[in-house]
Amino acid sequence: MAVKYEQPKVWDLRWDDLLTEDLVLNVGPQHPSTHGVLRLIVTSDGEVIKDIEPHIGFLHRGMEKHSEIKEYRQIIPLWERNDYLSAMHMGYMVTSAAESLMEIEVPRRAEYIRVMMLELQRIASHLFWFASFALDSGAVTPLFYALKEREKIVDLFELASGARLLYNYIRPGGVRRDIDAQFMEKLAAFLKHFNYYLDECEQLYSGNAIFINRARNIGVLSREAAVNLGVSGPVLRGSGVEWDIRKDEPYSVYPELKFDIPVGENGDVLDRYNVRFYEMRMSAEIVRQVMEGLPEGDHITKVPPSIKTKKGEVYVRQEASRGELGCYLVSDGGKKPWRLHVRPPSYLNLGALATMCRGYMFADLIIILGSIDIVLGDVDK
Amino acid sequence: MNRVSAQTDFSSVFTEAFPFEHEYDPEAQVLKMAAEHLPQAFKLFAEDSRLKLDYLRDMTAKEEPEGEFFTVYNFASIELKHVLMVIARVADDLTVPSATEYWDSANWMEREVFDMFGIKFAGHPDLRRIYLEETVDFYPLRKSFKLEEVPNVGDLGGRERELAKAKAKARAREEKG
Repeated sequence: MAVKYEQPKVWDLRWDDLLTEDLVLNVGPQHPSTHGVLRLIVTSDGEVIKDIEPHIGFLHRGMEKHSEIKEYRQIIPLWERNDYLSAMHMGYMVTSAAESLMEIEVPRRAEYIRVMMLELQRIASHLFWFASFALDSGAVTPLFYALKEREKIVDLFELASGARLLYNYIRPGGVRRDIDAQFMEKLAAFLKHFNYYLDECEQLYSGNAIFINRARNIGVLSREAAVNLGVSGPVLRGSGVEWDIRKDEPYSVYPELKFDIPVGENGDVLDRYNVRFYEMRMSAEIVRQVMEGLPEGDHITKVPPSIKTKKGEVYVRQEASRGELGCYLVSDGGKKPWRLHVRPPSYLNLGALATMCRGYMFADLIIILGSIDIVLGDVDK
Repeated sequence: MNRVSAQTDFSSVFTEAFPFEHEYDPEAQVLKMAAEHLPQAFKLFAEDSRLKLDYLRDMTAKEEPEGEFFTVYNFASIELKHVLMVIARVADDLTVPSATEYWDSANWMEREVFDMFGIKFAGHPDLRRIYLEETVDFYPLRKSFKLEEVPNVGDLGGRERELAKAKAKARAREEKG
């Protein structure tokens, strides 16, 4: 097979004439740093990683099959359990796929509220990533900073939907409840200081020499490799590819909003870190624009309790916290999907782990894995 | 649903390059064809300068009510910003040419389709189940597998249990003899 892409030849630099025996080491499936039940079989030469083989499926719940025996309203809370740290995106995925085959008009206010929630969810998810990533790189303090801030967003979600982790808030026709003055007040207070908070975090951590030395030029994924391996989201953008579905294949009201797409240069751990931090700023910016331009009107159109879609198939995709979240829905005209396939972003991002780690030291494995930001529920479906 | 502003019409490219039967809808950007011609299509997608579909973002399969299988590919071009969806009808021997020759992302996705549907991919470097155990003998996303008829999830391991019983029997026989 021909070489499809160039990767930096770290391995050659560390190679010497001294041949040692390969060491096969098993990491997981229950290692605290693997973010869930993930088993990695690492082949290493001394301290240098030669190959990694991830074993997944410990959390496989057969969600695609379960979707075929449940009605549309029932599969929204089901899929929210897929990527539980980004449940709004999962709910929006099922909703937008079903709506595309229903021909209903969603009120503009509902679309605005949805985008607001999706972006708040992105911030919350990235903050959780920051907490666990800092732990992976050996720092404990950022965990408390990040979770304290995430708590404020979770409180906002609780005000709007009544739940703190799995919301079932976005549903066909609109959103479950309208947001009120108290929500807006709290949101304004949150946005007012969020950028200062990010500045503080970056002072605390991004400029830290120990962290930068650990993250720079580690886990490099070249541009060509990133595209060929099908990674998406901050991992793809960290490798220098300007690709964001909110811009390139827009959905909902994103074309009306102004925001930038951060892009990295080297594709190393530090780039992916910086991309996520900038994305949080941009998400806050989007929420601010949505808040100012929130139209009046209904928050939901009347939809019968048991939804029927027309016969046909549709593919919808969106930019979730971890990358591209695609949904392929085939309907036979009934109350249940005939086939519902989901393209979880973490799945393909994890597939690039072996390419990222090859040639780096064993101690870098956990920080590289942390920089991909996987949720094992999302990987295993 | 996603809105794509500038979309390229590939009709002329496909008519020129594909001597076999195919059906292309430029509005929806869907190409329908038979799976046995996929190697020719993959080569065109990856190497033609008018397409440059370098990003295989999703790959899956579906079963139609008549029992026919289809594999579904979603391509995009990072540079030219256009997308293409390919729906390929799988032949009766359930073997499809692998896309791993051009796109590494197909590796895990084809393993998933093999795991869930039992569709084999010719030329795949490492075709194993990815989610389920190697010992299970069913393909869960086929329509012949009825989730409603599974009384207990634990019963899905029936084959494993049979194997364990057979092993225990063999061991007992050895000890006796």
